[in-house]
Amino acid sequence: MASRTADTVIVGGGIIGAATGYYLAKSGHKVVLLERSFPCSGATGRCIGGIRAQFTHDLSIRVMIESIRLFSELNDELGETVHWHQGGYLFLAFDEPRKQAFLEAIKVQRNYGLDVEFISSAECGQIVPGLNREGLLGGAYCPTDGQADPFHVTYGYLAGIKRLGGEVRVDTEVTGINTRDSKVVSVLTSKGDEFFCPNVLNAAGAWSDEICRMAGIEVPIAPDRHESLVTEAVERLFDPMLVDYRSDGCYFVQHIGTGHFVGCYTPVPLVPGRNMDATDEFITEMPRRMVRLVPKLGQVKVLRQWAGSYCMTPDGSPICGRTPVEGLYISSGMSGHGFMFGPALGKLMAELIACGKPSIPLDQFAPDREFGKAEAMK
Amino acid sequence: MRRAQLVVVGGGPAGLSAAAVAAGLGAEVMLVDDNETLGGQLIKQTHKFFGDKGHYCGVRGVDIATILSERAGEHSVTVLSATSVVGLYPGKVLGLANGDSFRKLGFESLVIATGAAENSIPFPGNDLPGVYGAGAVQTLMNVYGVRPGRRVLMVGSGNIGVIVSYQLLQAGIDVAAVVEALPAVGGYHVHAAKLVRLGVPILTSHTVKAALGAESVTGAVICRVDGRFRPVAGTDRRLKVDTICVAVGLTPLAELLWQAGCRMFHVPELGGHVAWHDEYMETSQPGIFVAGDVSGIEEASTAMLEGRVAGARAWERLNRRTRESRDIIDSARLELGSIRKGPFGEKATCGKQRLAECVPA
Repeated sequence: MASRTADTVIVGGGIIGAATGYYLAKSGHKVVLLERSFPCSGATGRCIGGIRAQFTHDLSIRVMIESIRLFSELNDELGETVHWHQGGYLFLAFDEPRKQAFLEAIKVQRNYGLDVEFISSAECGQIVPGLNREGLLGGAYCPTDGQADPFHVTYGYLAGIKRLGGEVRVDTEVTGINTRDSKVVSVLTSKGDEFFCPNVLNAAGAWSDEICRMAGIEVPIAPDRHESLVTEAVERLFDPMLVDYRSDGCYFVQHIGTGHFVGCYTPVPLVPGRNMDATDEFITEMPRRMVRLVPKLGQVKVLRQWAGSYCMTPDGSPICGRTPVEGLYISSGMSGHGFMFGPALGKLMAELIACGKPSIPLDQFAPDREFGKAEAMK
Repeated sequence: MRRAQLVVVGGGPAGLSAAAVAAGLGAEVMLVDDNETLGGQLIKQTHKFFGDKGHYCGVRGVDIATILSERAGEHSVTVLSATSVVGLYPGKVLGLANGDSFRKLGFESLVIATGAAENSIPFPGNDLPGVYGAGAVQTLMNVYGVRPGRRVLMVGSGNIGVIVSYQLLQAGIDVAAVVEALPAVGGYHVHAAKLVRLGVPILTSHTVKAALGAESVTGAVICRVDGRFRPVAGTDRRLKVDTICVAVGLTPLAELLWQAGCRMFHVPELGGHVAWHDEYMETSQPGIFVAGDVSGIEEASTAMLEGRVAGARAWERLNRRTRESRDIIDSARLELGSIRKGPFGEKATCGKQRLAECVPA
């Protein structure tokens, strides 16, 4: 068994681990990132790449405004094209309660300077040509929301870690966390290595409860299965991500660089667990829902389908911060928003680990918070 | 959603044999194939098969396709042609795509006989129009009657390489050379000898280094390679050709097996990742069988025999073992054993042996 040292060992090679590792390495930390499989093999590589600041939780809004700022500078920061495009998000309201909820949320969002408004059904039709506006009351539209490519972003951050002298180890599973007097000592891996380190960041997504358990800690995360599909590439039809919150709704966006449409829906009832089987139900249901919103899509073929995990917390907001074990940090429970939160939470968690204090306080995401009011724009 | 007792995916020699045998025993069989015409790769094989004794000795591949299709028809196999199986879902459901339509098909038992895809090798210009897989060239010529080019470089001297080279000559197309990276010809001697007699050089320990041309292939650079397949300096030669055929082996089309959650192992002798299967062709997923190239690259004769084993065993799993089903399985396995005893069966035998030693659980 080889023993090595690091300032921070990061568990998980998705967006959260990669971004946090990058900003830590940038601040001078010696970072070792351990990924059980390959980078993006969990939820990051399975997400559809949407990025938005339209939330109801005020910390989520603030963090996402910062994340969007970071995304817009990411090409230069990483020296990598991340396919960032501000095509906006359009949340559709088909009934009065939904419209009122959006109007409430917009008030809060505008307080933080977000350029968001409720637009009429006709205006929705202008932004999304070919939109079926039957029963549509209008929509919450924020043009500064957008999309980026999860693989390019994550691999860009990982390359940055290596450039800054850190290590990225794939095919390396964490098998144990040694603690003494409730303090992190070292991390053990499936390759037989032991990394001695003062800090460990648990960024293991749907598996972060198992990682915490290695240090004797429980976290309230519950993964559930979401499925996605991608269509063939077609000419540009419209810019924003469309979100239809009806129980038989869905959300989808056209990828700017390629012309593929990607989308998913939240199944009713939820499918708890880490099962990632793609189902025949989804492949018959999802196209129907997409075509109902944009009938023209009926002519577009589906290329592929897959499934991934939403790592849910009791209130639908992330769990980020210190744990009762000194030196063990967690950044997980992204509740379906890990990719978009990634850059900002990466930077903020790096500040917390390196300097003890993030530039935006993350107390409302703390692991020991009271899990109260749920995020309404899930 | 329709549900069939036994679904066979792939209407090549393995799938057709499996379907006919299982239907002959009394199973309700649906055969799904993505082509318009059943027969798989047999429909382009205009050469006569040979062997020690086995079935179809002296019969052309394309005629074997007809015989097998007719036999499936006699046993009332329902055929869904021009239909691709695009997904295998939990709950024993297949997703079928046919033109613009998508539908589902349930199954109790499944034989996956999807065959293989042609390999390529990396060299500058290998994406130029005029660079083909040898199998594709054979399809163009023998199925569609299209002449692929005027002067061809064949890369690879396995059976596909030498047979297609000869068929190119028959079609009035010049074959500049056959290059083979190994120090010896890979295919049957009779096929290679026919080429040599017609003046086609077979250059062993040679490979293609580059395809030349701006819009399409106008030439090729070949060179000698050493024992570790490294180019030997100063041996480059330019050939004026407009077509480069790549015949460097096949890879099993195993996507459905991965989706089914079958235990997969990488066995180089079998062409790549293959599903573990028992001696009756059943995978680690009960009720899911493999046959033909998808279970390990071999040839049409073994594919037909594996198909017979898989079809009969699938029927037994759905019903019970009978004297008839046992006889079919025993005789097919006996013949498989005898074919694989030959010098060209060595690789597959070794591969199947290695696969058998893997632990399925």
